[in-house]
Amino acid sequence: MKLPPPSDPLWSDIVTGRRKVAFEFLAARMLVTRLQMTAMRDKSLQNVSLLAGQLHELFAANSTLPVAKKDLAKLGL
Amino acid sequence: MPSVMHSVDEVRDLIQSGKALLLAGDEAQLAKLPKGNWIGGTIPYFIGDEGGVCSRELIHVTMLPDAVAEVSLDRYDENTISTVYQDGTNVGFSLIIIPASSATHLAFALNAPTYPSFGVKPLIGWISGVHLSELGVATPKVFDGRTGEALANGAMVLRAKLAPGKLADVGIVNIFEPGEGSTIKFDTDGFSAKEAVIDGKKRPLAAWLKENAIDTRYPLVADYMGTQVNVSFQAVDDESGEVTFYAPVFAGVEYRTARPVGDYVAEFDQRVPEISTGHMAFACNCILNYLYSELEGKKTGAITGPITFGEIAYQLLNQTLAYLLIVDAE
Repeated sequence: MKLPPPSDPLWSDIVTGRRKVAFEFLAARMLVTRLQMTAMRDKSLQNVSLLAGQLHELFAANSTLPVAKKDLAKLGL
Repeated sequence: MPSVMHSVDEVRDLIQSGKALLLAGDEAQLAKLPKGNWIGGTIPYFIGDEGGVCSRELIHVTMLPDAVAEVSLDRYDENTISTVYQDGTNVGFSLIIIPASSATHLAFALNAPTYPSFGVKPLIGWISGVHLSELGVATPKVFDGRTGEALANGAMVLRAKLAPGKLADVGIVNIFEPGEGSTIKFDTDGFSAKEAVIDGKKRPLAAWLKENAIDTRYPLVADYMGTQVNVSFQAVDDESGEVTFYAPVFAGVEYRTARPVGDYVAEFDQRVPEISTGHMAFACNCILNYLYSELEGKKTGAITGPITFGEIAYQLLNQTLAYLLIVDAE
């Protein structure tokens, strides 16, 4: 599966909380919780872009894991 | 299910047959084992073949599933543990053991969620401990099977590459839920706190716990997007006002005290996911669940594993069962 690049607003919208997603993948729940807290402390574009890259990395590495695939489907991917 | 509890002689044979093993047992028994492809951690409590058991003679053996194609071992300390996720991005999963209260334990507990590539590949494991009668006397250890060394500080990691088409998935079973009571927040990350922001107002935490008759056998619980993450109370010092925890509290996270649990085993059985234990590669549960829920002699479904001083499912957890499944890629 080809995911949108880290620069796609999909990832930054999740990190900033603009887009709410009920993730099932445990790693995503833990990572996104931490990324959103970090983004709240520093909302700069540079920081949000960095955090969005981390979320992209997680899903890129797990795109064939069934529980992660379910979450990707929730994102319309 | 094959037996999980073994004598030293049986484990020696397994090691000498070349099997890669994850071991849990009393330090004196682990120290008798030959060098080989294994890592181990000290603990004499287990959920064994017949349920909860304390044994200073038998060793709990996790044999890796057939889907594991290749194994390697890594050793870390508090200065190098920050690359533990990054170094595991090219394997199927990583099993980690860290000695309780070591510098590596503290560094990992506080900082793991900020380490590069956090969560990218499954990291699961546990914090080693000692017999409860030897708290403060004996030192928890991890063993590097390649050399037979016992380490009081460090982390041992078993990296497992999986056969094509196989993937690993980490899950947890937590019977605790946030209660209806006050919200609790902390200003700083840490294993202890004197003050907390309770319902929006800064209060001395120990006094508040006492005033509200909070049962500290139950953890603080935070909601991580639907996953309940516990932080267990270690001690409340009324004199100094310091409250200590078995895992760090994090600034910015909202906690609540847990709703009391009546029958742990019944609650647990209701929450065990619909999984075949045939696909379960590893599991561990918390010493506090073992103690407070009196798990000795009781089974928690068909799940076996070490009883630990902390569980790791990507990050450090408390009072939680963590497990690793091997699944097919889609």
